[in-house]
Amino acid sequence: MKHALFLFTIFFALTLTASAQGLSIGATMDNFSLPDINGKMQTLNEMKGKNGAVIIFVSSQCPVVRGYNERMKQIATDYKAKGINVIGINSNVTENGEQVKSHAEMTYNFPILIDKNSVLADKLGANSTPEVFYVDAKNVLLYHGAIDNDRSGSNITQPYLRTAFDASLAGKKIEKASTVAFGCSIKRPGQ
Amino acid sequence: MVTAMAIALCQLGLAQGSVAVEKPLIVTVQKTVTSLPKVTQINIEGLKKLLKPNGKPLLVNFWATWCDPCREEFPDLVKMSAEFQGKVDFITVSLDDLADINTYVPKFLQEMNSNIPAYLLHTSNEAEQLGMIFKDWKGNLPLTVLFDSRGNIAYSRNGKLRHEAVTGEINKLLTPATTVKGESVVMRETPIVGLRSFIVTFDEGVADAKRDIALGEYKIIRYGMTPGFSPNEKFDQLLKKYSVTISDRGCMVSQGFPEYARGYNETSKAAFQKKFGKAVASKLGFVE
Repeated sequence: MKHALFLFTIFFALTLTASAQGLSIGATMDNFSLPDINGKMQTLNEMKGKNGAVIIFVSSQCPVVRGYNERMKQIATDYKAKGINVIGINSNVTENGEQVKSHAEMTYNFPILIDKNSVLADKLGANSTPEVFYVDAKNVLLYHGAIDNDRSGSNITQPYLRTAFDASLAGKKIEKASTVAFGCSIKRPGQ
Repeated sequence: MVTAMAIALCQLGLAQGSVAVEKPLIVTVQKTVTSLPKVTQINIEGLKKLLKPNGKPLLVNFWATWCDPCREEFPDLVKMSAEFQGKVDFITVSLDDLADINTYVPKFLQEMNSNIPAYLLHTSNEAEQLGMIFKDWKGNLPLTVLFDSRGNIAYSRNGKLRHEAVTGEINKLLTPATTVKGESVVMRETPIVGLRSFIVTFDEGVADAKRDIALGEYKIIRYGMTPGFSPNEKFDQLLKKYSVTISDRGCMVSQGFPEYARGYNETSKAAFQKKFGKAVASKLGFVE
């Protein structure tokens, strides 16, 4: 009886694992479609560069994101030229469309898509802002986590995202494929 | 549900990379003229010192003034600290900028009427360093962690805390084990899945075992397998007969924990064998 219960528990757990959301390193990100700040539908496959894309979950209100704004803009400039496009995602239910639009127009040099009801955030398992997901040209997830190891920007010793880009572009393995992204919580419905 | 998730997530977790050892830093900030609550600056080594067991359960809340859910849950935190005063220690650790240690942080605490001991963690790469202590931390705030009186993580919540859920977990820690019909109780400490114990050493394992033995408790620490697993009923009966507790730490343990467990188990098994004899110890697999 105990043996049968044990086996049942394993089966149940595996079922739970299969249905749990979140994207692992090496898994393929499904193409997604979200509206931009002007209401026009955009897809990952249309927006990515020839060498992939980095999805960055952002917020118009989070001070941690604010501290990273200039760095994100510089990354967007530097790597667009190398075929990696930056795509910003706002999944915060507390930030209204007009607020996100005006903030994005003033702040960013990359597109911002609106993830109403945090659907994409749930699918990818994103929790913080900023939090990045870097995929290659085939949408395979290569790096997930923080942009670098110092939110203040004054003492960066590990520029995780840039290092991941450079390694991948050079055909090398990304040594640190996953890090903890510190920041504000993504404000989801019902929380 | 907890057991099912334990199986799904079963892997031996080791800390990633290494962290340069800093001397524990606890800097006292002088009170301002307006008597704002004292906020003490700490580094990661200072934080580890604060998390050492002190004979009582400890609840730690990581927060920041810029974090809305942190601000929203704070009244509940203050309320709980009053409810459990004397029974549970509470501390708050702000992850605000150091520049705010005399301004926004104590000002907010004053607005909340909080007299919970308050700290501000100032360290490079808090994400990586805190992530090594709390392996399942997702990187966002708030983070609330409840330690039992022995320094083991009993509960954690990454996100806005729920008063009922947290008080329920605290009450579990404060409720003593009961006997049934005069028989000894076989206790299985099953941890919340994915949590790991604080980084500990072999010597601390030995010390903890000696403390427990002095209290009349024989415990064996087990990790790396599904919590609650039992080879057979006969084994369970023996555990019950001799009042031995299996402390299951689940599949994910911290760096150093295997050494802690070795120190603990060697000491516990030796004491058990001395008391009950080699034959009995052998039946329970306590004799190598």
